[in-house]
Amino acid sequence: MSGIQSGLILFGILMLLLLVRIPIGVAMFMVGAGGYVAFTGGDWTPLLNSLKNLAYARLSNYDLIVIPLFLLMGQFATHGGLSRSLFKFVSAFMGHWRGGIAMAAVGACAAFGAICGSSLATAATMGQVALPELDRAKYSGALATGALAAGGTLGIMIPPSVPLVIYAILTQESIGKLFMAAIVPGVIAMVGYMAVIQLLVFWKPALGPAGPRVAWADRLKALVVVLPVLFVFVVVIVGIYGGWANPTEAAAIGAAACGVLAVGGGMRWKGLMDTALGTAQTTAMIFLVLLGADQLNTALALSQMPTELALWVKGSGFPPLLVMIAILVVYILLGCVMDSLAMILLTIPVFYPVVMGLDFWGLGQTEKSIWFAILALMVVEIGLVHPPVGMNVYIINRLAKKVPLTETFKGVVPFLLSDFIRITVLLFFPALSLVLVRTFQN
Amino acid sequence: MTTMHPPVPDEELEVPLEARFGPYGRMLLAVCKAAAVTGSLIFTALVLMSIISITGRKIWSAPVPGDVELLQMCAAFAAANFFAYCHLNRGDVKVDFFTDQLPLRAVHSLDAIGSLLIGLFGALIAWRTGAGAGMLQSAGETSMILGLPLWIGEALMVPGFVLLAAAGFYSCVWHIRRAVSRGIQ
Repeated sequence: MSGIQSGLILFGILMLLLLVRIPIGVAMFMVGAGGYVAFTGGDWTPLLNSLKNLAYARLSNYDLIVIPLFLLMGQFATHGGLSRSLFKFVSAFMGHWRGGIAMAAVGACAAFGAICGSSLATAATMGQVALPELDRAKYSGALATGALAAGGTLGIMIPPSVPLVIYAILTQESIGKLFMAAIVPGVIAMVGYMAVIQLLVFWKPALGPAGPRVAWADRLKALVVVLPVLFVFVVVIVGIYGGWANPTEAAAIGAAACGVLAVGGGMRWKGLMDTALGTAQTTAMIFLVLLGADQLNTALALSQMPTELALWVKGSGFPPLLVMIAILVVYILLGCVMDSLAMILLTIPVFYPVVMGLDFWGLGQTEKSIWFAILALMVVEIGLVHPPVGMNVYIINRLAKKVPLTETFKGVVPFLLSDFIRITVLLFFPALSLVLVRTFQN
Repeated sequence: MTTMHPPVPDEELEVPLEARFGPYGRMLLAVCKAAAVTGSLIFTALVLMSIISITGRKIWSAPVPGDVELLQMCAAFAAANFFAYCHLNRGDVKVDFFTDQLPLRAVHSLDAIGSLLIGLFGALIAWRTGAGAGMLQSAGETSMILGLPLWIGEALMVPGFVLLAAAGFYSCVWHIRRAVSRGIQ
């Protein structure tokens, strides 16, 4: 049996297990373990021996420790009320425009994304703060919830971003470079969402009435409150990229800073408990999938499937762009049913060698890898807002009790269009993802 | 990263965890919560240590000795403590799109299988990690800088996975009971 065939069998079994609600981490682990036994001649001993070190090798990986630290940082930001001051700040500058409060919600999501690597946390925490304000200002339910569900995805698009950390670990890429590369596309995403809001209220002013203008003195006051957040972002990103702190250290600094801000901002016992449990929950969720993916990837590597597939695609003469588009379409389809991180963990070991074997506009290997990371991040992120699963949509909709779910799904459609436009632009202009990395070459 | 709770609001999710479980479940939950909070506290301590270490290195060129070793060992211990709570709190990432429309009974039956597998996984990893620790102990290997025995790092993870096994088996029974109880459609 060829490597591709055995790899496909593994994936087929995995899909069946996922279909019947088996937790992804355990399903990947079982298929991986089964494959390992099959490829090592049906003997269980090598598997049992390799398992002796699976958990420790993974969970003590120095680069991986960055994930719980970023999650801790995000949890402090979430439970520490930072979202409120960010929203107030952006709203002070934009609220008096037509559609301005929704734009402020998007802007605040982007700012929150700069200290939080999670999309759902961003959507949930911003939703709690911004939805009541949008409701009070008589914004349409579809626009309000659509903007927040889409805005939540900025949480992972703007670094720090947990999927990018995972990508970096899977492909030995530099976390600093990936974070740097994500900034411009993240800002484009934010501007795109704001433009969508502008277009909508231009077309139908009643969707988002203008709010009262805020005096400059109050704007400056709002600014002072959010300056520490900017500081944290700069320290983390510049620290990692500038090379004076490694990602784990930078995440530690970020977590400490957000902790200080949260406690200084009034976080007490309950908030601390929520932070501790939230960190535990989100970390375990990711790490269980990671452990399973490790086992699966070992089995896939034994099957030779990734190498064979890469060679086959390279030799097939398919235009590279077509292959890339096919990969992106696969992500969008998988995103219909699967969590974004699980998708990255499941597919990168297979797709990465394929992409690296093809030529795209003569990009070097490192640049190609960075560019693909950004594209993959952008497509897995839209799975959070498009039907049928669209977790962000459900979260925001649950917070906005008055808005029917269909309204919210209608509300996100224009934002989805802007997502597709942005992904197309990033696909054809890799320079957008690479500009900062090239400029700050060190 | 996401919790993949069923998109169709499961009314049980609105009920606090404590109220869903019987006395044994509450006891298990309390232990899992304590383990989870301990893990988070360890990470917080590691954050503080890193900061002291970075400051020391930048200003006095004197980092905390063996900071990387400590970080790795403690992080593995702390992370292992997280799994059981996550499972009891239904934090597993799973694909629920295809099974959403099934009767609740069927969903509980499938989740019982999922929990059983989680329990078996926890038990397997606990067993193998324990074996790994035993092997390292007899080899007598120590860490580079602090000279800490390496087996301790692996051994510290075992309780977390034992707890995961307990959480998995408990949830399995819990789901089976829900699947056969009368009140559920």
